[in-house]
Amino acid sequence: MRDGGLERRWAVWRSNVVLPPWLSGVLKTESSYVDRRCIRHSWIIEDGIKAEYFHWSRLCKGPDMSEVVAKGEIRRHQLQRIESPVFAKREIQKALNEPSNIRGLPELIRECGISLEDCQLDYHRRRIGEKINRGDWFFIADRPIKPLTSVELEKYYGFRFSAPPCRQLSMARANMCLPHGPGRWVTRDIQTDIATNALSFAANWLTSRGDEGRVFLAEGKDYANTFRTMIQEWQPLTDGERHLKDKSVHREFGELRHIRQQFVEADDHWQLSGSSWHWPPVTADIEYELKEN
Amino acid sequence: MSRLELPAGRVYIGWGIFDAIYVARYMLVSVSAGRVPYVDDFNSAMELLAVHGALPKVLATVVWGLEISIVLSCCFFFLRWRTARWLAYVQVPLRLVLFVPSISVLFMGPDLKERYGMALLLSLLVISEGLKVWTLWVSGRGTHSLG
Repeated sequence: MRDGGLERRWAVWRSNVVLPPWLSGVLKTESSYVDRRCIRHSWIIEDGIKAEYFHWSRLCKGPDMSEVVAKGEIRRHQLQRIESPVFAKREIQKALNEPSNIRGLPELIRECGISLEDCQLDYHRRRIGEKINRGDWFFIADRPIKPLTSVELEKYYGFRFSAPPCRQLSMARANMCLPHGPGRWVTRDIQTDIATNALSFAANWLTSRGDEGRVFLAEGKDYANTFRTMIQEWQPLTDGERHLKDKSVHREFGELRHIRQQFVEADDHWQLSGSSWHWPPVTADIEYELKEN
Repeated sequence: MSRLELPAGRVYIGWGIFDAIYVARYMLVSVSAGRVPYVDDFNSAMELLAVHGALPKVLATVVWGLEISIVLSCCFFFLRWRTARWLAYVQVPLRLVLFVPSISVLFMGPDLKERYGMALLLSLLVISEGLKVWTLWVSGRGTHSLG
């Protein structure tokens, strides 16, 4: 049976409530998500033997599966399936008539603070379109009109996209995941929250007006309560770090974590005064995550 | 009806004195705090800006632009160069945004916000800049010699 065949029959059985001939002996069936894209089908046949079938599914969306994913999840998908935001925006705005038809779209709508009922309003459509334009969310399609290139992803959205290293595995498996392994967190990007920081700078500026004899922005307190988000990526250990292999936790390579930091005067352990201006939670550019035991 | 005329030379000296007070006070307080005026602040700002985003860099450019322009306008006013007038006009929006009144003695001392309150601070700032623009414009339209 070629890949994807089973779930089509399953879909026919589900929609028409007519058991296909090869399932005539089934007494009980169930299907459940192992994760977002993997579905486990299981059934017990008359003789008590339980059978299970795992499928990295096209089931929910039929033969042409499209999906909207957040930026942090994009590495799970093949580069050639990521639609250019120009076309993605149009497709997604069209799909707002029936958001549940595209997996992930309800989540995107909710992230914008919009209810599913209101998402067709022009103002909300524009907000959702902006999310796509900015590259906060991406549209994954089987046959994108213009797939993004790795150069565009790096240039416009600030992260590098390498081809899935599990290319030698089956297509279903390659669609499913990137390999896990021991590794380290490496800083990929630092983003600042311009709107919030502008308010903080304005407040600090007013406060600093009483401080004569110095130019604004020359002291840490002028930057007080500004925010930034450090984005780190889980990368494999280098040759020199192999000794940490057994101690390190295992994660999917390419997984991103976002650490929000606030610039404040806080206690430290390296200055005479015992406090300094820094970004807690303090995070090094390269961090190792070791198992607890 | 006779037109109000102001001697440009005196106007220039007047505004030059306010700029000089601003610069001198900054330098005195900076030196008394054990710093080298401008140099230490610049070095310190560079270190901090390196770990912050683009916004403070833009702000720092504006702030330093105004600081340098005040030193320049002080010199130009005392030298009675006509350029001083145009430089003063350019400074007005920066002074309004950055709360640096041309009548520099207005905002001296600590706890400005508590002392004046926000409304009075803004009013003084606007009056100060309005007065400067008006005096420079009136003195500039006549044929008064700067000498």
